[in-house]
Parts: sequence; C-alpha cells; structure tokens
Amino acid sequence: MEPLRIHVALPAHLRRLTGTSGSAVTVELPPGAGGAVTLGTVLDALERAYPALRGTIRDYPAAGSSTPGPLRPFVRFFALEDDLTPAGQSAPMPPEVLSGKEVLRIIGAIAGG
Amino acid sequence: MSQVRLLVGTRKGGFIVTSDAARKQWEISGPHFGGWEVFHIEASPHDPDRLYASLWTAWHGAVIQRSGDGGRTWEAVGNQFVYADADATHQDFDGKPIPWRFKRVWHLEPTLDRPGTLYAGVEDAALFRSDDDGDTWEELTGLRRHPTGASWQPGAGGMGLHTIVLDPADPRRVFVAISAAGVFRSEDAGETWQTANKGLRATYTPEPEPEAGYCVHKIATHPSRPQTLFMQKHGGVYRSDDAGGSWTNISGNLSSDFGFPISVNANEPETVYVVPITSDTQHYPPDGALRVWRSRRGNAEWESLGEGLPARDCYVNVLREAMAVDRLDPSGIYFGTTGGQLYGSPTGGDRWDALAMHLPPILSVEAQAIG
Repeated sequence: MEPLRIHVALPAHLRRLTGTSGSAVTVELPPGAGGAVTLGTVLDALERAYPALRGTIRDYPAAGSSTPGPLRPFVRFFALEDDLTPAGQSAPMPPEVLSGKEVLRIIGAIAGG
Repeated sequence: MSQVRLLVGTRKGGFIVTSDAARKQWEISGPHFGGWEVFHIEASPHDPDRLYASLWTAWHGAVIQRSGDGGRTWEAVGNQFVYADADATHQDFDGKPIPWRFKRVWHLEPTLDRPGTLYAGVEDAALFRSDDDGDTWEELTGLRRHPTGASWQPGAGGMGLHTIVLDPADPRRVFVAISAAGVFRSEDAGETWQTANKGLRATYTPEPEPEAGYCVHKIATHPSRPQTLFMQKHGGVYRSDDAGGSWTNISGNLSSDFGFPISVNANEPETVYVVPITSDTQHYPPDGALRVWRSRRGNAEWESLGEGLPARDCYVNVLREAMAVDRLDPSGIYFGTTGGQLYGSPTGGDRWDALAMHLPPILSVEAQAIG
C-alpha cells in the first residue's frame, strides 16, 4: 500500500521557516492510517518532516509528558471550508484531505500590524 | 581589509548591513525572516560568521535561528524554554501573583570563553544557557529563585531580561538587567545571584530604594574595565566603579533623564553615548531634534552630537537594544530608530550618516568588525 500523502498549506511566516515556496507542503503517513488520522497526527508528521515548525503551531509537551501541548491561540485549521480548530487535535481528517484531493490549511488569525 | 557588519533586527525581519573599513558605502541584505519580529541578532566572538537570531510573532511564538556563513543561510535551532517551576509566581502590573510563562527571547549573548555556549535572556524574566550552540536550552534557576523574584513586576514592554554583560577577565561573573526588577550579579556563572541596585532610586514605587524593582533600560561596559558599568535607567544615567556594588547618578546636563540604549566607545573606555528621550510618556527626542549625547569622561558632563541627524520634526524612539559600537579606530557608533532609520558615525559621534532610511521599526543593532 502507498503511504497517505496529505497536503498542508502553511501561512507565510511558517513558509519562511520551512524554506518552501509552493502553496502547500506534503507529509506522509503510514498506509492504512486513514481511519485514525486526526489533526494531531498530521501535525506530528508535519513536525517530523519540518522540525523548524516545532513550537510554532502548538506548544511543546508539558515537562515530563509526551502529549503535545495545546494549539497556539492565533492559529486556525481549515479543511473543505470547515474550521477544525474547535475540535482541537482530535479533529478527524476529512476523507478528501486523506486522499490528497483537498488541502489542510493552517492559517494565522487576522491580527497585528 | 576589515569589514564592518551590522546585524539589524526589526519589527518585520532582519537585515545585514555591510561596509569596508572606510564605513562610507553600505550594502543592505534582507529582509531575513521577512514578517517575523527579529528581537536580536548576535555574533559569536569565536567565529564572526556564526550568528544567532531571536525571532517572534504573536501567531507562532519564539524561534531561534543559527547561521554558519555570516547570515547568508540559517537553520532553526532549539526554541523550547522550560521553566523549572511552572507553578511559581511573580507579580503582575496590579501586584497580583501571576505564574511565570515563557513568551520570547529578548537577548542572546555568546560566552567569551566557550565556543558553542551562549546565554538567552527571556520574557518572563529568566536566564537560559545552551552548551550545544543553541540546540537545547536549560534555565539557570537561581536567578528567578532570588528572594526578590516573587515580587518582580513587568515594565510597560513586558518583564524581559534584556541585558547580559559578561566580564572578559572572569568568565564566572555575569550581570543581567530586568525590566522592571533591576540589575543582578552572579560570581558563579549564573548559579547564584545578588542584587546590584544600591544607589539607584525608583521614582515610581512607594519605596524609593527597594532591593529590587528598578526599571533599568540598559547597562554597558568596556572590556578593559569590567569593574565599571554604565546604565541608562527609567530616570537617569548612572555609573558604577565597583562592579555594580553602588551606583552614582551622572545625568548631569543631559536634555532628559529618560532614554533606552547606552554604549561605550570601543577604544575609549570613558566615552559613553546615550540618546535622550523626552519622558516615559513621550517616547521621542526633546524638541523633535534627534541627538546622541556623549560624555568623554564617563561623568556628568555631556555634549550634544547632532551633525547629520534631524534637527526638527523628528518624533521617533531609539529602543534599548538599538545602539552598538564597532572596534575599529576611531570606533564606529550605530543606532536604529522606530522610524526605520539606521544612523552611523565612523568618527566616534562627531558626524552621522544615514545608512538606511526606510527599514521597518528597528528593535536591535549589533556591530562586528571582521578581519
């Protein structure tokens, strides 16, 4: 089986860190992972592929814990025009994102100067 | 042939500004990390092409970057700063206890004696050290555990540890300054700390001379005179000749006792520079005239330096980290403004040139003389 290839669109600040110029990066998850893929597992894969993003989308685990920290407050997550953010890191990935037809979008909330 | 390299952090990215030793023609590269607030870029004293940069945005928090080629390319290094005792508290603006929380890195200071070891001064005020060139960071907990720690309160810009001064003659001696706690000195490489605020006056607290609680804006020293420190404070310029044991007000004839940066000429250990700012509520130069003031004896006698600087209608600020000197002879002096102007003087302050006029608001300036 082929690995799942998930396309993730990053905001401009984070593209500066990954050094990527396209509209999205692609991360791979093991074949057969589809049913269990959540926002959190996609972020796991994203941070593995681009360690420079660690701490910039969600906080580090608390001291002595391996559970990822909370999502950062001004960062939102969209797929198929749905806001996944309220469901947090346990939000399931829509099949269209798992199949690579749609993009998971990470967006910085409108704020600042 | 020597080269001068200025490391400029701004509200929207970092810039590297270079010249030959004549310091007349300058080239600007950047923005590096466009869109990120670059609080500080600093070079290793052991390798001029080894640079460290502190980045931050409200969306994505703090990031540290490292370069091995003078800033042409960068890589992310460690940005995990864990407080040893997350449940401890300090005081908020209103005096209520509030837990310590890491927000961002204000200042990076590579050690003089150990390549790959550097300090980071962070907000909420704490000191971290990396022994692996920035890959991982560990807190030096003795500072926050000082008996005054629970009473520290933020300044208007946040409770940042913004100044780290090292003693070239004694690698175990470290000074830090915190807004608005004051100056602290360690004689054991940061393990334990004493306050170093005697002689200062706090004009904004009920008690005028507390052990801690001083809004120190910046301290500076000359490598050849590590016992002598100069300070620009919220309310006065001060001098210490006993390594922070006591301070004397040398504000003298300055046009204002308020300002942020302070620097010492690289070749003249008694020549000091400040940029007076009108007041704590009016963060622009007195009378709209941007002036650097110089004391050649490190005392209360100051002269105003304005040739080449705007003489009227200038209402920018110069932030605490935004002034630096190079070690050529004569020493070059540089500063950046919140209006994005970068000024330099290759003549020790007698004449100023505009090196850049339209950068984003400038947060920090460091100067390197290479070769």
